[in-house]
Amino acid sequence: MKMNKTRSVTNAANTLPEVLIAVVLVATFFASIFELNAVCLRCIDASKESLAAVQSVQDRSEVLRNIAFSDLTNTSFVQNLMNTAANPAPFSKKATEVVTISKYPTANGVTKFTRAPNGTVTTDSIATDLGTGLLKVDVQDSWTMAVGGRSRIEQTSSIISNGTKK
Amino acid sequence: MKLKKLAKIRAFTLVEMMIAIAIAFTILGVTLTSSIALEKSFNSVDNYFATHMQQIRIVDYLARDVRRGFSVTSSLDKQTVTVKIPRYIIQAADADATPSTIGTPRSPRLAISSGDYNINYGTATNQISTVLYQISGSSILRTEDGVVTTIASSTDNLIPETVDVELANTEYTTTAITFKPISVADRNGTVVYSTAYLRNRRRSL
Repeated sequence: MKMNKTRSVTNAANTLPEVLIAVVLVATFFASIFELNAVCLRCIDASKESLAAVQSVQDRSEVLRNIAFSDLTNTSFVQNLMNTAANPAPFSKKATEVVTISKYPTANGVTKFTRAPNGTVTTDSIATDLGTGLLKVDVQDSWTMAVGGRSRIEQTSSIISNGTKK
Repeated sequence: MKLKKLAKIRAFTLVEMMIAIAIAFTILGVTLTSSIALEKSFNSVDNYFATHMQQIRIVDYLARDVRRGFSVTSSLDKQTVTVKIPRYIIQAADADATPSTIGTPRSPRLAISSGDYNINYGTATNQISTVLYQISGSSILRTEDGVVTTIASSTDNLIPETVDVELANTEYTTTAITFKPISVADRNGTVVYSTAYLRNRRRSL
């Protein structure tokens, strides 16, 4: 009886499952901290992408609204123009850019161009008539976001009139 | 008697204590390291977003002035930009200003130049404002007719570089703004690009 009591005191310890659970909890805790750290970095990447997308559609729109009206209604001219990325940002290598041009306010078909991330430009459709007065020009960038791999779209629309600078 | 004695002296062995202390110090060390790293990350993100906003503000200011300008000139080092803009609004110091017209839009004047119609504002000697963008220390300054506005101020060494390109009757600028984040040593990956065209016909007045 004496011996049993002595043994039970000196051999007191955690069981293997207890130790394993403790190890898992500690590992989860540290994994969470490091993941949080990584999320911060991915947030920066996502922010950079969003800003680059805004600037990309603005820059493309800026160029399109400043070319001659006759060039804007010329399919091959716009296609050649789109061979060059909207700006030198690396974002253009991961985004798909779509430019849609139609007569405004009443469309008669749409002229649509798509610029793939590899720089290839295709003419998807040609409007029946773009008119000689007003055009609606949509510029859209779509890409897969750095955080969560979600699809994102940035778009802007402009109404452009025929005329010359004063 | 013997039983009581055994119960009193139960304790961890030296080896157990040393292992426990080693584990505790390891956990404490990792916790401290990771919390410091986490704090640095939060600071970096905060700083990055704040500087991003400054980049956007510079781009907005510059694009707005270029779009309403008559001409743009960038310096060889690309860090100073001069924009000539029409005096659309009557200001107190203008020769044609009266108490009732200060702050009101100025009537445009039609002029013919090389067979083309141009729209100008103000008198022939008082129709242009000069806007200058330049770096001063850690600040980006915009000076319009001598009035200085700090449009960005950062210890991250913001550097805007602008190039102007003249075309037949217009002109555009391409601007690339970089900064040096606190988290990394170089500027790679911080650049923001912007393009802006004149809305007016380009001309020197």
